[in-house]
Amino acid sequence: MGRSAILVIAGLAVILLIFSRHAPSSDGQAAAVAGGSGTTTAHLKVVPTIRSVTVSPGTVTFGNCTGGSGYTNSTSNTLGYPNGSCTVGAIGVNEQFPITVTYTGIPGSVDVSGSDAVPADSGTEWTLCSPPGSPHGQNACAGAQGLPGDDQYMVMNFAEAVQNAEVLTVTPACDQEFDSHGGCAATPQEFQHQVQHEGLLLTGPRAWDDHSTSWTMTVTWTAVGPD
Amino acid sequence: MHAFARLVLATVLLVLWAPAAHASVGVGIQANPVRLSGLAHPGGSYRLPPLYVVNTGSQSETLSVRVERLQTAGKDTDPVPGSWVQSSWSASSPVPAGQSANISLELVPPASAKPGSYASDIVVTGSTGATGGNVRFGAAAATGLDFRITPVPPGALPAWKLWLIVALIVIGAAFFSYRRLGLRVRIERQGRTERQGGNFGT
Repeated sequence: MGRSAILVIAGLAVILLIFSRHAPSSDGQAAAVAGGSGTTTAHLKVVPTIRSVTVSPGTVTFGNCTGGSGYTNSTSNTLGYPNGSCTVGAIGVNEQFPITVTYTGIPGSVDVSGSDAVPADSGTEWTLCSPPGSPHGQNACAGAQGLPGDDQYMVMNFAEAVQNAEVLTVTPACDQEFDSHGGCAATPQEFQHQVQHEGLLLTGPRAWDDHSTSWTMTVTWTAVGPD
Repeated sequence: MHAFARLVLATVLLVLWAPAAHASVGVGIQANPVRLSGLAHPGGSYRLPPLYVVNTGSQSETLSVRVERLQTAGKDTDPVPGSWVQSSWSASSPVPAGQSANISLELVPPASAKPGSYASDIVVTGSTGATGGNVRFGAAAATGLDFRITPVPPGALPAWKLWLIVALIVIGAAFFSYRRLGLRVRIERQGRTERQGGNFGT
């Protein structure tokens, strides 16, 4: 019995010794060990120093085509003339916004721009145009009622929770669809992400010269500093 | 067994198709403007701080750099002509997804450059070269570029002339030392090999 008591006391002493070496001191720092040294690693998070924009998917194809007349009426996936139209996504009852634009980083804004349309045979391009008198209009549409004329076309973008569509220009301009409260401001909370879902509406030329049946165009979103 | 094979095939196709369907294109750029630390003079050549860019898309991208004045540039400044900013960056070398790069830039204002403050934007555009649809999406990011040009001070020499003078001094000093020390170079032929040696004359 006496031997067991000694063993229990010795065991308790060892446990106490171990705990005393690992217990923090009253000011929260590890107790100093004679002749040793200690290292504490501190981690610090800082605000990002970059801004970025990411667009998904990388490519899409226009569909839901309507308009044109007679033998040159649009079909569901081919644009007709004069002034047929096609969309990426859908406006109206069954709205769809298949393009995801994500801004990341410190606050800034998002610009958007379009390009001329290039035919598969690299022949006569369609010039991107804007309705006459529009604020950022560079190439005025020459057709009736502000519609595209010959070898001209127009692209508008539209977005979730934004009422009006905006005409794209060749020069980057404020993407009025990006901020659902209006404007192109990008103010991601906690420097994380601000996302908008958008679609495109294309209005084709009155007529065109090139005989290609496949055309390519580019729409670019740009992350810029605050306005 | 046939059903299992079809299931495996469908899974493989889904795995192959999924990345393409969700592929994205993205570009990030340093928020701090590229700013020349000091004044520039017409006809000079100045190394600008490197431009930090990152591919935030899901696949390799080629990045192109251009100078363009966007709406955010300073109003009381002149736009920077694109030909004044040169870069050795090769737009054909792709940057892998998630990777960053430092693009070196050089400011070369011509001798006819008007003194004043200049501001524009450096725009970096990423593209993947994807050919899936008839609308290609691009992502770009811009940061400011600003510097100030002042006239060359009276009596001051352009940088290239200073370098020329320094080079002439160094060549002259080397030639003088050569003559002064009496250094001789003698070429001896040993067998089929030539050896070059030198000794200090006495």
